Order: sequence, then structure tokens, then C-alpha cells
Amino acid sequence: MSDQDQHPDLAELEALRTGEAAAETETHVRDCAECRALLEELGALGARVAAAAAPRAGLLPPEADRAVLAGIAGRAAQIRARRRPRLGWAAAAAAAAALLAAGLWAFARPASDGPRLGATADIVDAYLMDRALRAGRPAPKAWDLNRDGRVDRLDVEALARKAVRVSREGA
Amino acid sequence: MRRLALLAAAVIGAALAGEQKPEPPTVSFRAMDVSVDSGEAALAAYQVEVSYDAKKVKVVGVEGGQAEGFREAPYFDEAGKQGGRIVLGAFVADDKLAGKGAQRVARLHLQVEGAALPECSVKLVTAARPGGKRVKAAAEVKDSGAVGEKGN
Repeated sequence: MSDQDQHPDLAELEALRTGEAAAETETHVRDCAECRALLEELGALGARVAAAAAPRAGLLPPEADRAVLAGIAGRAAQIRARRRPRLGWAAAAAAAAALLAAGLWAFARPASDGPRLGATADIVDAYLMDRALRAGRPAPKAWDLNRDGRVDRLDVEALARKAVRVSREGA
Repeated sequence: MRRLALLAAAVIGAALAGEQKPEPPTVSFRAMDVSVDSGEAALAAYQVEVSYDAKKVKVVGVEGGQAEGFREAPYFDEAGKQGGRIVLGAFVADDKLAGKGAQRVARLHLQVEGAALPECSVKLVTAARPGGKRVKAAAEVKDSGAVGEKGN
């Protein structure tokens, strides 16, 4: 925790969003409505960045760039208003930088974020697909594993069944 | 004399037939609990491979565990019920249901030939915490007792 009143900073919230935060961060956010709201906004921003970045993996498209910057500007203003007594301009800038880093980091790690669909797919990949669909994230056409024209729970099940097939090598 | 010979033949035949009658095999039904211990990390998904002696054991049922996030039956391949190896995999429907520590995540119902305890082993294929990050975990399979017996 980096704040005087023990609120996690944006980088820690981003880590929580991606399941990599410390247990104490998780505990704090569970009991703190303010941080939960911020976490939800961060999640929505992450989804926007991912959606904008989806067409071209590897390069940051202008629309993704704009989405990140717009998100930072909005959040920085809100954070300044919310924590004015304690946070000065420098702290708000640091928070914005953290958000930018988190956004870029989230954008630059497609391999660990999305499910594998090939022969090496396991149940965690099915879980990731299910989680993305539950969160309402945009689903690539490649996820339509049963080829019924839409990506839904049935595709998650298809991937899960593929993962547990006993005929697979090395399963 | 002829009658005596026929009677002797009948008695010998009956005795031989009695000896050749096969003993009915003893078949028991047992439940094996599969547990995964992810320590301090919450468990959102797991995949394990359970091996058993295909000559003596058949999997006749697969059900979910006791852990809140894994009460539904895991995914598995029907072919794994008889081939000596079955892969089980499941994930939580909601990250809030991911629990920590040792959890019973599935139960296998086995049909076992003979009275001896079936030998089963389990290998963890993968486990992940909420968000999908892989975590270290340990898997265990444990006999939870006989369910019933047939034969003899």
C-alpha cells in the first residue's frame, strides 16, 4: 500500500484486476467501496484499451493510444478531486503515469491474457475464455470453436473438453 | 452292473461340473476423493490426471467436490473411464468462489475387481488463481471408503 490511509495505488489496483495483487490489497478492496469503484473503472478502461488494440497485435494503434490518454485524463481529474487534501500535482501525475504504464502493460501482453486454442490448451485457457466472456470483453472470431457463428459458453465448453481429452499427447 | 456304471459316471460328471464352475468375481465400489492444495493462492482452475489399473478398475462416475467453486462435476473425457487414465479439469464460475488451501475438488466412483484397495495416483497438470496466473499446487487422491460390494 502506498497511501497514507492505506488505499492501494493504481498500479496495485491494476495488479488486482489481473489477479496478481497481494492478499492485503484484495482484502482492502473488498472492504473499501471507493477502491472497488475505482477498480471497476480501471476494468472498464482496460476493456476499452483491449478492444481498441485487438485488430493489430504488437503495435499500439492510434485509437488505443487515444483511449488510454482519455482514460488517464478523466481518472487523473477525478483522483485530484477526490484526494486533493493529500495529493498534489506530482502525485496525480505519478498516478496518471502508473495508469499509463498499467494500460500499456495490459496491452503488451496478449499471450498471457488470452486463451490458447491449439494443442497445448488446458483448462486454464477455457477459464480465461469464460472469464473474458463474463466480463463482456470483445471475443475474437477465432474463439468460435464450434463454428456456430457466435462466441459463447458453448465454445468455452468445447475448449474445456478438448483440454481434458485423454487421447491428447502429454495431457 | 451297467446301471452301476451309469450311476458312477453321473456322479463323476456332476463332481467335475462342480469343480469347473467359476467363482463369481468380487466387485466392490469405492469412492476416491481428488483434492488440490494451492496454499495461500486462491484456486480458480485446476487440471489433474488420475491414473489407475485398467485391468481391475473402471470409473463409473465423476462428480464435483466439496469446495464451493468446484461443486459441479469437472470436465472429463468418457474414454478416460476405462483406459487407465482420466483427466479432470474445472474452473470457478465466479472468481469470488475461488478458495485457498486444500480443497476437495472432485470425487471418482470406481468399480473395482477384487477386494483390495485400488491403486490410483494423481498428477497435477495445471492450476491457476483468479485472473489466470498459474500457481504451484499439490494434488492428492484418497480413498474415501467402500460404497458397496457385489459377488461372493
